[in-house]
Amino acid sequence: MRRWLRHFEVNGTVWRDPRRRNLHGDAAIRDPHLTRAVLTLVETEPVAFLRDHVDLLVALSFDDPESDHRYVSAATVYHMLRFHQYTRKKIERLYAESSLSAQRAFAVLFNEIPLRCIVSVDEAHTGGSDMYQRYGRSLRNVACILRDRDTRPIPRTSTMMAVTLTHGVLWSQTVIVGSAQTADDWRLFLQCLHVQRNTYILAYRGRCSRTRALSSMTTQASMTSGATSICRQMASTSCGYLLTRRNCSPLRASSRT
Amino acid sequence: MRLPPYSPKLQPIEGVFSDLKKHVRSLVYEDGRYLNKTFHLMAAAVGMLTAEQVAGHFSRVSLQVAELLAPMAPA
Repeated sequence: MRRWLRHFEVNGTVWRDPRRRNLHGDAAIRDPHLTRAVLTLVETEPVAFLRDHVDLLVALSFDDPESDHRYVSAATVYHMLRFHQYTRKKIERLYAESSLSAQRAFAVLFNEIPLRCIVSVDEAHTGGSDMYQRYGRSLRNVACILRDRDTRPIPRTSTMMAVTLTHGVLWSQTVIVGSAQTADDWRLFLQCLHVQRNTYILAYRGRCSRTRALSSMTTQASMTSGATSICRQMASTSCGYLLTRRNCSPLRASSRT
Repeated sequence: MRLPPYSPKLQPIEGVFSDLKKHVRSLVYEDGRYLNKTFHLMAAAVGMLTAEQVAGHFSRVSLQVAELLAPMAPA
């Protein structure tokens, strides 16, 4: 309030730009200085958006010390990010790929396996705003440009999929999940995928074949436990390659540094 | 075996899921009744993915891997 009063005494209005006084809800989004500061920061230091909000404000003040961004709320920041289609997954992706050396290390590993032998496996959720973006009322014959999360109650689903170079979608499975899917879901998925053994042979880590391989890459701990158990069962009859990685969230990674 | 950090940009499946989400969005936009039939929606979206689309993502990843490894190749 003191800041507003001071601004009112100097300028005769509480609005930074009086022309936008009717756009109160989107005033922050339409603020070019704040938008530039947030979008620059998310590209250069995505980890700042994965920590506490206080850390984000400190990073913003370092990035643009002249501005008044230290008062911006978390809701405003994430509303702005959502408007510019920076979902949390995308920010985590920016964080994971911020190191070129890490990408090269992965590329070296990827390069050792023939492309036709790679079965890429992962899951996607339908509960986020990235799935149902177009929402809102629009006038007749006027295109709706609103982009926000759909507020209608939709069951949160998880779709697991395996794709290959030669066969396209090898197997997909959609389940309705609560908070997160479990290792049992992954076990069921991998058992169904096991039907495709005529083409691709599953195997257990340690018995690697460079010509026939299954490469299932994920960051989920639940999949690691599910995949490991099913691959242990198959180890006696088949041969291949399994790549998994324990869940390493940016929050925990950043707290160590 | 020590595994390098996860690199989603080098995963073909991430691009496929991106296409899948585009299909889901277009299906929901065309027919809002799909929101009440989640399994039908996802099955229809997966059915819209073609083998050529998936192969394109594998090619893209292959090119990116080659670009990343190019500076490391012996002269």
